[in-house]
Amino acid sequence: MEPRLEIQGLSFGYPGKKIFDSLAFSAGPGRSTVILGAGGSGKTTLLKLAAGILSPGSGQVLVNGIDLHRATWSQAKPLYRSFGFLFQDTALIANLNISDNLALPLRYHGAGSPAEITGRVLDFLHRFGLENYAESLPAQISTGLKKRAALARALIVHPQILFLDDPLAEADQRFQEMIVQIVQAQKPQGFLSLTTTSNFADAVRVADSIILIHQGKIIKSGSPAEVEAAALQVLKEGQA
Amino acid sequence: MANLLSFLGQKFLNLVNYLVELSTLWSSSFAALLMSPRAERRFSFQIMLRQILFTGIEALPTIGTIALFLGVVVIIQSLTQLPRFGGEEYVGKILVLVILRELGPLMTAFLVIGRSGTAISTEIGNMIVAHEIEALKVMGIDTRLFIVAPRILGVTTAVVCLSLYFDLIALIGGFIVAKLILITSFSSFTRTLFTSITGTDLLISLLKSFFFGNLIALVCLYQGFSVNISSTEVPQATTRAMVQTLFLVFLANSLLTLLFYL
Repeated sequence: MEPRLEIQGLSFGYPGKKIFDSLAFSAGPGRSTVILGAGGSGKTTLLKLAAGILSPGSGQVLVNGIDLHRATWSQAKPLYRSFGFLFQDTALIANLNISDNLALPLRYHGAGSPAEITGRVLDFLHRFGLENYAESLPAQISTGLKKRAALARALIVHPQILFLDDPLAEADQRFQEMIVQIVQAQKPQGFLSLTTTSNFADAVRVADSIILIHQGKIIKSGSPAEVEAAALQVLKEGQA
Repeated sequence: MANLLSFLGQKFLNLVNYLVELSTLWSSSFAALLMSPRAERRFSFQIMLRQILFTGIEALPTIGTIALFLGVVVIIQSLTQLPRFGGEEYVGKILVLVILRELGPLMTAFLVIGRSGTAISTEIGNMIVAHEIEALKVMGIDTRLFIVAPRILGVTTAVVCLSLYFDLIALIGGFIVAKLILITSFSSFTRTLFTSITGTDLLISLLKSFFFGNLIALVCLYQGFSVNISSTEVPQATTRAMVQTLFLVFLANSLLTLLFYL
C-alpha cells in the first residue's frame, strides 16, 4: 500500500499561545515535501504533529486514512512502524550503544531472527561508516557520527514515510549528500518524505513541493519555483 | 477550624486522586503487557531482568552490610535487655516482629528508594529532555512495555527477594557477630527463632515488600514522566519521587500493620 499523509484543520498551541490554526496539506506517495519557514515558525512542531508525536488541539492527521491521534495504540502501531524519524538532536537512547540503538526497533517488534537482525545492523553500520563505533555509547561519539547513527536507525526499518527534522542544518558535506540521496531513493519506491528546513537552497535540493509556513499559517505551497519569491521574502523577514 | 478541615479534606482528595493515577499507570501497563505480541513481551522480560540485576543483585553487598549491622544491634539488645525483665521467652517473637515484619521490608524499601528509585526517575526525566521518549513512540515502541511494566516487575521482584535476604542476614548473620559477646548458643537461638516464626509473619513480610516494590517503581516512574522539557526539572522530579515514595511507604506500612492486628 502506498503511503499517504493528510493534515486537516490542524490547530495546536500551548496555554496562552496559539501556534497553528486550521492548517491543511497533504503529501502523496513518491513525493518529497519540505516544510519551509523561518527559525521559530513551528516547523519541528508541525513535523511532530504529522508524525503523531504531539497531539493537536483540534483537527486530524490522517495516515493512510487513519486518524493517528484518535486511533488506539494497536491501530496506530503499524503506522508508527512504517515511519522513520530523524530528530534534530538525534534522540539516540543514551544507555544503549550504537549497535543496540539500530537494533532496537527491529528487536522490539521481532522483525526477523536474531541472526537476521544482527546482519541488518552490521549492514547499516557499514553503509553509514559506523563500524568502528558499534560498541560506543552516543555520548562517546561526535555530533556528526550521532547524526549518521540516528539516520541509520530511522532507515533500518525501511520506512514508508520518512520525517527529517532540519537534516541539512550544520551537517557536514557527506551527511548532506547522504540525505539528498536517501530522499531521492525513497521516491521510486512510492514512499514519501517530509523534511523541515529554514533554508530555501536546502529545500530546493530535496523538495518536489514546498509548504511555506509563517506565523502559524501556510502562506503558500507548490513547486520550489512557485514558492521561491514568497519564501525568500518570508525568510528575509524572519532574519530581520 | 472549618479552614483546617477544608485544607485537610483537600489534601486527602489530592492523595486519593494521586493514588488513582498511580493505579491507572499500573493497570494500563499490565493490560498492555498481557495483550502485547510475544516478541514485545520477550523484550519487556529482558528489560525486567536488567532491572532485577541493577536493583536486586547489585544491591546485595550494601543491603547485606546494613542488615548485618542492624541485626547485631537488635539481637544484642533483645538478648541482653529482655531477660532482665523476665522476658527470655519473648526474644524470638520480638526479633521476628522487629526484623521480619518491620525492619526487613522497611529498610530494604528505603535502600531501594535511595539507590534505584531515584535512578529510575532521573533516567526517565533525562529521556524526556533528550526526546528519547518521543523517539520510542515514533518507532512504535510502547513505553508501557519498554519502560513501565518491566521496571515495576523488576523492582518489585528485587524488593521482595532483597527483603528476605535482609531478614536472613540480619537474623543469622547478626547472631553470628553478636555471638562474639554473648553466651547464648546458636542452636538455642535458632530454636527460639524458628518456633516464633509463623506463616503469617512471612506473609506479612512478603506482602509489605510486594506493596513497597510496586509503590517505589510506580511513584518514581510517575514523577520521571512528569518532566516536560527542561533538564532543570529532572532533579526536582527526583526529589519529589523520593519524598513521596518515602511518605507512601510509611503510610502503606502503617496500614498493613494495622490491618494484620485488627
